[in-house]
Amino acid sequence: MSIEALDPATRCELRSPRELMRLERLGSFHQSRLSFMRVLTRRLAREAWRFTRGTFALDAAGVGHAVYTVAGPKRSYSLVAFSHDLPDEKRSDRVIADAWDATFVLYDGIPSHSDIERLQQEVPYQEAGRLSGSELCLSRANRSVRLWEHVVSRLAAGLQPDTEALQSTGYLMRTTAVYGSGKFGACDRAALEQRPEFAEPFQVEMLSVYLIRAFVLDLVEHLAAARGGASAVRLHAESARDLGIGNSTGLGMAPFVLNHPELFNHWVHAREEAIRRVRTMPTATREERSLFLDVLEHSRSLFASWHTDHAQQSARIEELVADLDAAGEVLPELLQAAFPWNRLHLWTREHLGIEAQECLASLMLEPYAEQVDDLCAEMAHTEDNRACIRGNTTVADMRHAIESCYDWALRIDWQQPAALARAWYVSQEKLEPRLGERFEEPIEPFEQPLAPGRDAVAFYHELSHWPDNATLAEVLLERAQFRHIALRIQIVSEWPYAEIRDNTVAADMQAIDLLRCKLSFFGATHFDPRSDRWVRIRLFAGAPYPADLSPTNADRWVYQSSTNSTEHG
Amino acid sequence: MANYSLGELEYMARNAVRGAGFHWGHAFEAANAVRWLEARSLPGGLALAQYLSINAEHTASVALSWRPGHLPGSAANRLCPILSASALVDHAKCLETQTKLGDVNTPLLLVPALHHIARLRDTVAVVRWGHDAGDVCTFAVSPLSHQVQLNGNVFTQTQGQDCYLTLDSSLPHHTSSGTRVHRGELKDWALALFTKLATRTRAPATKSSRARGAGATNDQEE
Repeated sequence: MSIEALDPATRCELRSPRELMRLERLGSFHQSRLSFMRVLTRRLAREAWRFTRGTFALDAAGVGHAVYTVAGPKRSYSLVAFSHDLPDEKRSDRVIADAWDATFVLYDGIPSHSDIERLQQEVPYQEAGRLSGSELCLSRANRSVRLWEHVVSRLAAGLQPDTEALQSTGYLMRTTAVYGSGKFGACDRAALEQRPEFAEPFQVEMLSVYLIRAFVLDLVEHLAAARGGASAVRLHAESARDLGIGNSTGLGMAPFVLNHPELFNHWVHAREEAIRRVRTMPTATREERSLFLDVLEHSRSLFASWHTDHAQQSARIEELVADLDAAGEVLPELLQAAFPWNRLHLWTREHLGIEAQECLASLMLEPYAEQVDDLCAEMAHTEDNRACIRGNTTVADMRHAIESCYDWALRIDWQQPAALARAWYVSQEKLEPRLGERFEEPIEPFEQPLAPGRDAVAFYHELSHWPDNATLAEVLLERAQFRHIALRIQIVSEWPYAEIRDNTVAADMQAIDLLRCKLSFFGATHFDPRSDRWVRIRLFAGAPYPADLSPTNADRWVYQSSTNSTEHG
Repeated sequence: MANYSLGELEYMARNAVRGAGFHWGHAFEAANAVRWLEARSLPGGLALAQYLSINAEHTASVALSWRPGHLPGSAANRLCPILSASALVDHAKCLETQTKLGDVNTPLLLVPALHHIARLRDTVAVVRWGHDAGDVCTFAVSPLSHQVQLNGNVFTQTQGQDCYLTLDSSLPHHTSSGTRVHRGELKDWALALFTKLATRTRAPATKSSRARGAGATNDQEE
């Protein structure tokens, strides 16, 4: 399709879940201005939250604790960090690890000495410890073996670290777990829902990681000063800003988007509605075009710098960069025309790969804070809104709902072993979700209900034995094994983006697509899959540190890098 | 007696119910019920543990015979509160204004169903159990309120006591959201029971599952 042939009057409707809710596409999502990290930093700056480093009781080996407090309009929160001297042989990102370089808890308020003493007995032990309702988030992190010693030794010697080394690794520490929502005795999510600062999803966890990043910088400079004395120097601000917090994310996170269908719908819907609103803009001003082209250029540079040994992801990045170059060729003409964003959107669908389509869809939101930022408030789902089965629905209506929402599943041949090759289960050893081979391991009796496509089809076949006017209540009295999928079908009928429209137990299912999708809503960058079931990422890379955070730099920091130092508002 | 977040209680309850042999849908609904009760300072976790401790292996046949208006109601055939609550909500639109449910085991677990029934019927839903001459426990839930009105003492266990459900639009509709709590307690024996039942939902590790892994590996290059 030529550019001239694009119809600017095409109705800008929300994208169909049939197109959107496929694993490959969801696994191509990128951060946007609705991402939870950016929602957090915008709020902190807008409301002028005050940051203070309280206690910093660390010895020359970096062992001790520190407290970082952030004070908002009504409440304060404190990151309590415990820093340890971990032998190299004990450093592991695996969930079975029992010691870490640093452990953290986000405390509700300012902790007393007795609180610190109590937390010191619990937080370093992570899952084996016990928290109270005053604690909001538990986490831990390990140093980057490759970068940490290099940075400490260089700073101690009065030198800056090697720029290439900093950019290659991109973080000094990586978190290996960030637990919120009432885990291990911590405060329940429902207790925080009414607090405006935590109204949007994952704000507690994002605040924890943001403060952890500040602690990590202080720790590395503290160790350099302890080693180098008067000759030690601090890390240049630009280099420090580029560093994020690394994160290793495995299968434990993958079922989240399946287990929270309404919440997932709200995330995707907010993003889709934002895209739709921008597509309806009749023109783009010079400033809007300029801003878009600027963030596009920075994004392209960022993607070109992403390094991964994962062959598939590496190929996707190469294709993405090439696609963005191709888009750059036509953008000047596209953006001058009427309905420029809709033209761009339609053009990308015709000419670019999925990764570039989703990248550009996110980027075109950037100039339009006023039009889209209010959607962040719609991304939460409160604990009180638990759905129940509507038992008076007729069998005919249930069949129609399945045909409408699970048509993709009805087309799958479930008799083929490859369609059922996997099973999600919880490991007794790790107490974590895992993905196993159904026909090779004795896991089927323990299967979690994470194959909605298969279950919807099974229910559909069951319903074929019932008269059209029978009620769902009647069916479920006799066939209670379908209760979970019956409720899910009703939820998906109401919330079209609630369901992933792909087989989540197929032999060729890529679990990292689930991870990537969720992490994109966090705002993660530098996706580096390490296998088909875990991925390493960076959080807050490019963000200003708390002391430097202001309304002028709180938003588009994700496009910052020392190689592209243009300031963004 | 240890203190837990609602999320923990819900998670433990779900796995315990599943481990007791219930289908996933009932496990989710029972766990939601425990959470709902504990958020209102009612001993949902204890009630569930009491029920699972005495009747976990014998529920299905009792529940399957349940129909509105066709109740088994004998002492030897006591109703399962998990399956009964689900069936009541499923049939909310066709419930009579007064229904004799029969002898429901640990009827406190029925109370969260009132929340859904009240909303679906836009009326106040009331459940009552106990002896006319002795203790009587009555709960009422309004469609727009997150709170529950309680008359009498809360007692979770019953035997040989009929349970009644009433839908009464003449009762005042409360709209207060009221005070909510976000933690609950669980006695050690109940925790032990939940843990034991939950173990049945988890797969033992195999050589291949260990080799395949679930997440990060040791990566000294980083």
